[in-house]
Amino acid sequence: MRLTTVILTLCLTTSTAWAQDPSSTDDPLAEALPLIAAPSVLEYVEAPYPEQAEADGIEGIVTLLIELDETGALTHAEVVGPAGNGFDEAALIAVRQMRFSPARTAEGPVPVALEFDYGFTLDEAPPEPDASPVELPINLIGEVVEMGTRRPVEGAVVAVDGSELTTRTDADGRFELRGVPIGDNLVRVLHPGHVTVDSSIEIFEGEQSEFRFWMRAEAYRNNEVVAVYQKDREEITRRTITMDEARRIPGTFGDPIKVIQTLPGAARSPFGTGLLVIRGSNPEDSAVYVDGVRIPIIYHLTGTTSVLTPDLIQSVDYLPGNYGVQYGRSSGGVVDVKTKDEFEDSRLVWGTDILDSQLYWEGNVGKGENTHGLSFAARRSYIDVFLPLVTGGTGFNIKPRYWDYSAKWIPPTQDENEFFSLFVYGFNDLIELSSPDDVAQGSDQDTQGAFRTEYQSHRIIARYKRALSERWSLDVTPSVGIDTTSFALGQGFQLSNTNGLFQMRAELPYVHNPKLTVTPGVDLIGGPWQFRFASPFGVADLDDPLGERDPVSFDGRGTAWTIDSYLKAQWRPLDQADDWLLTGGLRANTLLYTYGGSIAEGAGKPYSRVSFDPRFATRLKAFDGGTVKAATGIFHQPAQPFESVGLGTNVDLAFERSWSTTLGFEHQLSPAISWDVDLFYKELSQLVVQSPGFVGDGSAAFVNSGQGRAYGAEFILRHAPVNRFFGWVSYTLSRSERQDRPEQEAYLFDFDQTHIFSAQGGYDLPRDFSVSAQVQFVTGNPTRPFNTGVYDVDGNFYNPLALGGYNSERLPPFFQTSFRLDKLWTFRRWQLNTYVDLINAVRGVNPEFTIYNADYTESAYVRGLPFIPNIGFEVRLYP
Amino acid sequence: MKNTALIAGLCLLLPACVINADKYPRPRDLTPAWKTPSLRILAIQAEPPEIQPGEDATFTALFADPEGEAGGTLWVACSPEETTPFGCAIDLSILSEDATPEDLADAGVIGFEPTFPPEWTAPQDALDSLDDQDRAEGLGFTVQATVLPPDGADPDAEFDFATFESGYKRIIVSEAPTPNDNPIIESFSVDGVLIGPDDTAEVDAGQSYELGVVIPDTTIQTYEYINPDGVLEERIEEPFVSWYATEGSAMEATTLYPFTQSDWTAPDLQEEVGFWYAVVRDRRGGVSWIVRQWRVRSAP
Repeated sequence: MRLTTVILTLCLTTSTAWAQDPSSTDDPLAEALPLIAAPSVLEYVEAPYPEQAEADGIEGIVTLLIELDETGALTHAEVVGPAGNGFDEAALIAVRQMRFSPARTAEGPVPVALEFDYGFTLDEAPPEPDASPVELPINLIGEVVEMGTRRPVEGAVVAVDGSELTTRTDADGRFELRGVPIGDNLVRVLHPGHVTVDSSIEIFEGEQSEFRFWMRAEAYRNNEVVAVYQKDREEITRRTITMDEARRIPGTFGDPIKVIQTLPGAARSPFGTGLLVIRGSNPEDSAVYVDGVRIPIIYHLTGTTSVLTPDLIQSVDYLPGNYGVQYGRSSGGVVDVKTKDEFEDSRLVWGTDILDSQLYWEGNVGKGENTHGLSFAARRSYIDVFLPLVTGGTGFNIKPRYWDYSAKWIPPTQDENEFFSLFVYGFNDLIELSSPDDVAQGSDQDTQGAFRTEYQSHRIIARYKRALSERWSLDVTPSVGIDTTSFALGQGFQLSNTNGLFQMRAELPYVHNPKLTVTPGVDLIGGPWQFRFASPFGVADLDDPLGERDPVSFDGRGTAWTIDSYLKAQWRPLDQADDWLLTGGLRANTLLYTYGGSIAEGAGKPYSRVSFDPRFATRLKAFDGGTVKAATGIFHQPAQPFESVGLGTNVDLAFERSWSTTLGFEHQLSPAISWDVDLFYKELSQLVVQSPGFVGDGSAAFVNSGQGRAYGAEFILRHAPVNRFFGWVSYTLSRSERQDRPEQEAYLFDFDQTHIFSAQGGYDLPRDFSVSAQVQFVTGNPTRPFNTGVYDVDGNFYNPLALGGYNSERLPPFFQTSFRLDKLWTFRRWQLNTYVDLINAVRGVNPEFTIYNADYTESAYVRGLPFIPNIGFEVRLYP
Repeated sequence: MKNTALIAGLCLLLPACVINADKYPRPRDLTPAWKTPSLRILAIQAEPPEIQPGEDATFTALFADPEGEAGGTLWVACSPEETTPFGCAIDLSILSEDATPEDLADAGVIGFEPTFPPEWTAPQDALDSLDDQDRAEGLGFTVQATVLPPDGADPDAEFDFATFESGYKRIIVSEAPTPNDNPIIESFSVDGVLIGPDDTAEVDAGQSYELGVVIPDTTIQTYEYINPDGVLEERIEEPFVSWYATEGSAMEATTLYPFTQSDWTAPDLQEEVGFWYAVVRDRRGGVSWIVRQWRVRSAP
């Protein structure tokens, strides 16, 4: 009789780390994150079979609940399914000696609780071998590798059929066996999460044979879950979507950042342009950060893709409102993109669809302590190549084009408490539109010729982190960059702008005790700017089509500095730290603007402002899985750069101000299903609006007389990627109003959308097929209807006459349904993902704005994106 | 099996979800700027287009009115200060039956066609508040023509904005040394063949033609202008042509001098009769036009 103890199952009690170590102080209120790697047994310890049970021929299974910390160390073990007969004690003794790998989310190792079945079985003893196996030579060695990714498979069981020969692969996926019978053998390789491999091998007398076994993962897609939309829960509202989900949503063109627009609080943007209209705020009121550094735009001008390569993105935080004091200069929402701070083994990714192609490589160069993490990416669109093929017959030429690049270097550090990285990225967007020389673009002689606009941005971002002591740590992110914009119409109209930027974010978190953390920080943005403007006519000339026109040109240059500082405190007053979190902070905003050049003639007085933002937030656990949350705070943002420049007059603009309050509740119904509801109210004041007294040079173009409010409710019901399905339903009910001057009537905000509904989901089919779908319904944007026009004979145009007020009507609602089908092909050294993305598959009409005939007596709608069948592929090579 | 059935069901539902693509009008359904199937003011000419204080000018309007919708035309004039983006503010109460000619004149009425041709005299003090440089450039007074409903129209009928036609132009009052004149259109041609004012051009259904006007170089004036720096400049007019037709297709609405041709395709309507209109503007207030009739030949 042979005694065997086996691990029958090792299953997570939940797919998420809900049962964290209570003593952990890192984000104790962290919401459940999907695991990307379950813990596995690194070193198995066989329990002694209880003598009496063996004698009595009794078998049993003991169910244990064990808790592992971030290192994989066992912190707690208890019997939850006893088997009696001495099995329980034996299993506990064995499991406490075993070693495990830690569970991992996209953010890294996490503590986890799991159920662990330990089985005791009795088998008939095999006949004693003629010789001891240990005395036999090693005659079969090899490695077990995952197909496609070429990752070593650790802990795989390699067994020779028909014998007792069995072993497990080590961390490098390698194994060795002694005494494998000479001749043909059937070798079986088993590992949880991979398809069992049966392979016939031949062993020769006196020789050592080496084999590589390729194991196919049962689900590759889950392995791609490398990032989440939520890092921690100090903020009142963060949205969590995994990277793999995001890339499979139809219409995102595989870009995870695009998925933000399916989340509550984000309004639909016209033509899918990616304008960030969050909680009733203007697009320019929302801020985008990359690794803590603010960047001007997140999407290329086509709006279809973000300026960062998807494979480089580690996480995206979407904060629709009431975020912490570390974010400033914005009264709308925040999108914070983090790039990877560690790279996997070498991989080359080539992606192509109807818009662009991109190449991405990441890997680790060097060995051991001298390993350097590196990544390179480049992308270029080819719409400018294809569009002329379509429009060539018309003579009109439209050339939208974009490219971007990035490179990241993570050198080795001498101290494990240190981290350094250097990240370089940039992009260039160009749109050209031209017509034949003999085709007039309207009757105005000064607006003829080609239209061209170009935008580019480049950044070098360094990051240094260091744990200074057990309580203090340092996190510094300096960066330099340059942004340039140019706009031209024909030869006469030209505008160019260049901003040099120095930015630095520095934080010095101090952990006083597990209940209190204080973080002082500095957030600096500033640098020189300059612009030139030339026009064949002035503003006043527009009022008189018969007036003689005189060219206008001016230039400006100066510096702009915003040196903000903040102090944030997090306090967990209860013994159960998870139960209540209070976050408070104060941010001091400063602005110093100097300007010269021809615009400063007769003016040029430096312009400075100071303001303070107090913000508070709290999260209180109401019951297991249920959390009440509330926040209120002040948010100031400076006027936009073009508003901050006086033309022959001094600037006197205050910060725009927002008082925002959110009250919400979130509930984890099950490991897979959660829902979250937020009510928000935002009062806006000191908004910068056009001055009614502006007449050109010498008068102020903008004043702070605007005000407004936005309020509403946001709801999301989400199914995490569990059991082949993922999806979420989001709904926002909101209203946003503006008032340019106190004596004027309030009007609806341009992007006010009463109902924003979005449902999307995906399902993994057998053979690595997957399908996903999306349905969107959004109330139409407000619009002002025109009833007729009065003809200006001299200018040859009609002045539209409107009886209704500004934004007094709405466009018809937006409705779009899209589908996507993916198929992943896995080969030994590479993978091919092909997809068909059917955007607006049911051909929703979707009016985006109203267009009128020449005399404003007829109207029609300019429609949104038509049905777009986007076909693409992505090749992943693992050299 | 259950999932397969679900997916199959969704696929079957898909065609039912297709939205009616013709639910809303498209931009291509709008009447193009060059097409004048109904009543529309196309131009107003002042003769002369630039006058001195105390001088008179007369006015003529070009209407496209293929359906004969126009009743009378009310002409009013107002100063630059009284001008809005919609021309002169018209107080309709002045049209009451007991209004005297003096009442109408005080309200700015300068004509009521067809019985009272519009005529306007520039005020003697029109430029008194200006310096010499601005007096040379002058001021634009507004003259506006508004089409009134035909006689017999129901006075209680709901106002139809689509039939409202009103246009305005500026007449320059100045002491310019080189006052403006209206441009001259020498001729009108179809595929190079001159069409006289009493001719009707015979065209083939669906056939494309090149329409052209001849603007003599001598009519393009050189004039003096003192720029904001006080420098005297000699500038040359940059006229443009606006093209209109009552039917047809694919016409360029505007061509900039020296391009004075535009392509037009005849409608597929045999025996259809219509008009071409070409309006030349010199951007200084000078306007001229030419109108020619066309008829689609009968099929042989």
